[in-house]
Order: sequence, then C-alpha cells, then structure tokens
Amino acid sequence: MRAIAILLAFSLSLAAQLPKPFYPWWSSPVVKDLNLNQDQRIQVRTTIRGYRGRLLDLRSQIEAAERDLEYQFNQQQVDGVKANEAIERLAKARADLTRTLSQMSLKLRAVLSQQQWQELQKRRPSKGQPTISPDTDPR
Amino acid sequence: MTHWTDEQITHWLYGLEPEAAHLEECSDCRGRAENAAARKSAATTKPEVSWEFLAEQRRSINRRMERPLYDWPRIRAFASVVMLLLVAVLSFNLLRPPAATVPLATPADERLFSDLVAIDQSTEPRAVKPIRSLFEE
Repeated sequence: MRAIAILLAFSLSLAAQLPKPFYPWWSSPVVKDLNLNQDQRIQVRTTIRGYRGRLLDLRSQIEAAERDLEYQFNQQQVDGVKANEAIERLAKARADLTRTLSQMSLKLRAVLSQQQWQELQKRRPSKGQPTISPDTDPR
Repeated sequence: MTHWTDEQITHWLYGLEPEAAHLEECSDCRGRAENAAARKSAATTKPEVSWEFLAEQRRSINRRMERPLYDWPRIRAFASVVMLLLVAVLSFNLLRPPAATVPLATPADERLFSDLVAIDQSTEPRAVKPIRSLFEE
C-alpha cells in the first residue's frame, strides 16, 4: 500500500508541476512557416541526431522500469522494497528524459532567431491538440 | 658685339628679324642659325610616299566601302546560337524537378519523438492506472 501511495503522490506531483508538454516542432507542418535557412536545417538535423542515442536509451529505461513496476503490481504478494526500487528507477528515468529533452530543446532554440521562436510559440498546439501527426511531411 | 638670343634666331628663321647682317659678322651665331635652319627643314619636309602605297590605300578604302555595314548572316547565326542556349537553360531550369529537401527528422526519429511525447504527456506509470480509477467517478 505504501508503494501505491508513493506512486500516486509521484504522479500527482508530476501533473501539478509539469511544464509545457514536449513539442517536436521539427516534425510538424509548422516548420514550413519558420522558413529555416539551409544552415539552420543542418543544425537542427545535427542536434536531433546528436541526442538520438541518449533518447533511445531513456525510452528503453522508462519502458523497462514501467514493465518492472507492472510486474511488481501484478504479484500475489507485493514486495514493497522491489516495487519502490522500480518506482525510483522509473522516476529517475523520467527525470533524465525531462532533462535531456529540455537540453535538446535549448540547443534547438539557439538555432532559431527571435522571430522564428515567437512564430513557433504562436503556432504551438494548445493543450489537448496532438503535437505530432503521423502523416506529417516536414518538407 | 652681343650674340643673338634664341628668340632672335627663331625670328630670323621665320623672316621676322629685319637685321640679318650680324650673322655675316658672327660665326657663332651663324652656326647656331644654320643649325636651327637644318632642324626646321628636317621637321617640315614631307615624307616621301610612293605611288604604289597611295594606290593600295585607295583600293583598301574602296574595298571597305563596298562591304556591307553589318554582316547579317553572321549576326543571324550568332543570335540563333544565343537563343538556343537561352532556351536550353530555361528548359533545364523549368523542367528540372525541385531539389528534394532533406527532412529534419527521419521516420525513425519521428517514431521515437512520438513515443517520447506520449511518455512526456503521461503523468503516471502504467501500473498506477487501475488504481486511479478508484478515485474517478
């Protein structure tokens, strides 16, 4: 029960302090309106490529932690210690993801001019709207 | 006895010096005057031009007068080549497919970011979701 209470508190605190959701604008049609020049396009691609490996690792870590936690929850007798360890791993992986995504976003922000950044803010989808579409053609 | 100045010698050369008796008395001035006269003669003597040279010059002028002012066949050929080149360049630019822009993210990257957006937007672990339903009406 303690593990469940901690998890609920963790998820509620996440919901309470969550910054604006991560927005992969480079994969959305918005990118057309930003009129990125060739140099900027190269910098964006390079930045994304540079973070790809780390983000793949973090996705795997989060997925593994989610599975561990589900496994602990599904046990006949919930092992509080093991469940808490899984919670810690998940919380850490999610924190690392937030940190890494924020650092990548900061680098990408540095590529944009002030005008492009303002344009991006204007066109950022409001809450509830999808931030990435499956049929996106970023060209 | 004073010698003639250069100006007096020049005047003498052009017949403006009324008194020329000095030259008979002074060998120095006579020498200078003869020298000046020789230089003037050399400068003013017309060069000898042969009759053949003048005839050739006249023939050359006549040939050029008979030739048309513009060489139209050549101009037409040149203009055709220029037009052909122009058409070729324009066609190349118009018919060439636009350079493909490399997308900023690969399809694999887009899938990755789509997953990350889902993770980022979920506020609770999957395992907790059944518990949450206890608190929802």
